[in-house]
Amino acid sequence: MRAPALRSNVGNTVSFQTLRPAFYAYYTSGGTLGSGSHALPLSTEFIDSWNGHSTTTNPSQYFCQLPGWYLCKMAIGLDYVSSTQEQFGAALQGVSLGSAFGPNYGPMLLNGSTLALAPYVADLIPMSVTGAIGGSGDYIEAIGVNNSGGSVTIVQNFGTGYYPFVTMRWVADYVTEYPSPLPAAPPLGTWPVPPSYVTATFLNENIRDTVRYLLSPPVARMYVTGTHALPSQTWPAATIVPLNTSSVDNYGGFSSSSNNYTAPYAGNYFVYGQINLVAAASGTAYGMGFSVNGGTVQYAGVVSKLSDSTGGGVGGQTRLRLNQGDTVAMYATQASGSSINYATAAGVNTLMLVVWEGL
Amino acid sequence: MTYPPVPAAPVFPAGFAPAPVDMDNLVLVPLTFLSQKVMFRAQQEASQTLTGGAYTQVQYNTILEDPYSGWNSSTYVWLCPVGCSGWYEVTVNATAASIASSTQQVQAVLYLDGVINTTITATWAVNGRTSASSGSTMVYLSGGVDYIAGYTYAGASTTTPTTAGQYSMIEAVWVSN
Repeated sequence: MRAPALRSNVGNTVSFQTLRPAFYAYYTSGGTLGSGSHALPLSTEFIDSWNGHSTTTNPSQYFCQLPGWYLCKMAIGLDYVSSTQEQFGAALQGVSLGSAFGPNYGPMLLNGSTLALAPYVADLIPMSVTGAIGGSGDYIEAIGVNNSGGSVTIVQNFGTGYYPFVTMRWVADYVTEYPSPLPAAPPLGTWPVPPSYVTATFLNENIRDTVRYLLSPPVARMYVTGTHALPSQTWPAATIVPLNTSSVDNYGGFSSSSNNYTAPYAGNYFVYGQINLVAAASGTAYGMGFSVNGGTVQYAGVVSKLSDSTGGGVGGQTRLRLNQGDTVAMYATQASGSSINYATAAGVNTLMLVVWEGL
Repeated sequence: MTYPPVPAAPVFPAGFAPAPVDMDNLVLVPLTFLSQKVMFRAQQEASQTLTGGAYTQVQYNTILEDPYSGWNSSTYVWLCPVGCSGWYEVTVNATAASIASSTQQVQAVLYLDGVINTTITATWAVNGRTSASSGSTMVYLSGGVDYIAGYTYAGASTTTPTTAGQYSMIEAVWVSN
């Protein structure tokens, strides 16, 4: 075994895994968000480790510098203070795998609270076409959505601690053909005593498979298609969200019949979910959360709403420690007195994301 | 050995016969960190007063995991472990028992070194049941120096919920140098 091979396989892996593409920026320009959907130029960067963003050239867009699945999040505060309820949101759009996509909306938040609120979105988006900033490669763009019919001030300061912000992180390689068999999660322990002659099998088991696993750990994006209803029920009872389709599920953890995700390996998993429902002529609260192995639903989002003619939703996120074989499902609740259908409009998704983050 | 610091890229010298301990240091320790990363998760299961119109530091009383022992149960802050500087993604789930008003909000807020850092979420509070508002952001933490805390802003006075499934939570994970 030659030193250059170890440097290439181990040294470079450590270098990459400690500095994977990550981007975090604020919008600091103030002003208003006009009626409709508008891109946010991100004027202050905190980290952009692979230089995918510019504050001057296409500043609302983050360009692909390395193919992969990107976990993207955005929040924007909108200072709408009327008691007349209107609908607001955050969304992501751009070019993915060489084709335009989006906008992919987060939960559409209804606001008649008389207070500024902050719509948000998260999504797991693949990018494969690398290119220069402002060029023809893949990119992801953050969008603020204001369906009030008038301009709304963009919140720059909730108690000195808030600007609209965007985070994007590479979380897994984008591959179209996975290794077979899929590599197992790396074991922990001391380096095993090697055989008299270090064999390929020994190095594969102790180095290659770990490198491969860390490059493409379990990730999944599951969503609802077709017409389904969320029944009305008494808090805190909730109903499983009928996730029935996936756009990525590299370890085959998703069950479209059970509407849940089975952890292929033990570890800490980031889990995000959002629901979007059609218009409902009753005031109520929308709630969503996650259940592990069918146990108590841990709520991650519970918000108020009035009677609406636009549709609305709620989302939330958490980190769960799962054993191999544990299932996680998203649940939702509402108590309007009648069933409410999940929204089916393009981009107005009900979805769940799962990303393995560590043992 | 079990919970190593953020690794530097190992340098493999040519022309020497590595012993198992060398392979531990050059291969196993770095890959162990990258397989585990730094993780902290906690939740508040006790009733704690949330003062209306103010930021309340949540006194998480149940530590779900903290292998690097960063949590301080007296000051209710999590100190970034020595050797583990980097960008962290922090998730805060701010929950509040019923707020007796239909025109209030709940915010999940991250404090860094005793100062407000990011209002992660701001959502419409619920009158008559628990509100929950969760989100995440990124923050750079210097090992042994910087500490974080989760705060809840409730528009009107209430308490943290004590019902399983409605707990306030905070989670942090190392994501990058």
